[in-house]
Amino acid sequence: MVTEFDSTPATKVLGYLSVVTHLEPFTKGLLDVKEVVYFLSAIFLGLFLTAVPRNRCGGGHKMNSVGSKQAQTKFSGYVTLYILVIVAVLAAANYLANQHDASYDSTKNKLYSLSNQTDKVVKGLKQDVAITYFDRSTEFSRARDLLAATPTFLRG
Amino acid sequence: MSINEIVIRPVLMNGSVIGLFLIPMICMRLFAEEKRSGTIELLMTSPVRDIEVILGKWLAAVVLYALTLALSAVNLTFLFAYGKPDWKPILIGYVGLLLQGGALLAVGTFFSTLTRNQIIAGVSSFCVFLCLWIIGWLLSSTPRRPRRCWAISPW
Repeated sequence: MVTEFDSTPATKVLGYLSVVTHLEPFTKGLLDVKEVVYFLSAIFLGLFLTAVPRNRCGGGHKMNSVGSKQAQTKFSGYVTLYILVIVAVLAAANYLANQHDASYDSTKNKLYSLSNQTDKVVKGLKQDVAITYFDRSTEFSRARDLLAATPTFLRG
Repeated sequence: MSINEIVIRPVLMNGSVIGLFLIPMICMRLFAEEKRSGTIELLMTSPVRDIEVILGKWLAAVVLYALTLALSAVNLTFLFAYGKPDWKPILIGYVGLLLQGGALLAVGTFFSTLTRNQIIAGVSSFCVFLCLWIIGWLLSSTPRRPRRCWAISPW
């Protein structure tokens, strides 16, 4: 059991947007499906926002708009709705990808995965296991790497 | 501790920080310059679809970024000459950097369409990237803030 700092749902959602945390598994040599999904949805969102029309004349660019102000307001409403729907779809895709933990460990001796033996031992356990880790706080990130490899039933 | 852990991983993480500075410079010009010089009308009325123009510009930026990454990989030849690093994690690390670059370039392209001044486009996308960077500190646990600070923090 590891006591992370007290994170609220708001910090989790905001922190999820961070680019660095999603890059980290790659630098370790882990191809994580959820991180790939995150980056692909970021690419899609960026290009979608670029392509989305800004006024009724179409095109993402400023042109002399024809038509009434009212029609433009209505149009802006539709565009906002469109963007919100896309953002919701991307958020759902990311949520689903995070529910299913699928990753490929490319390191030679599977540094970041548990061995079958560990799996077997843990499945045979009757009681909860408390893991206490002592180290300098600067070394915690390394320990967290190892812990991240443990499946949820171990993480408790 | 393998050579991948000691040498390559920090290099890749630093590479992503360099990307933070480099990427706004790559993509700030994409649309802002077209708008400033007035060639955007030409581009928009040419017989290609908007999405093709956008994808083309974005892909060009990604290729430039990929070439920069490829140049950084020259250093690795020395590592392979004198040691035995594991090549698969390196490859995946570069895939990660490329994906991250692609994502930031896409966001930067969007900021480039908002203005006709490339400096404004570059600076605003840099600000957003920087925010995306430091927002991750919310999740890191090492600099544990005392509870009193949490009481006044907005989240």
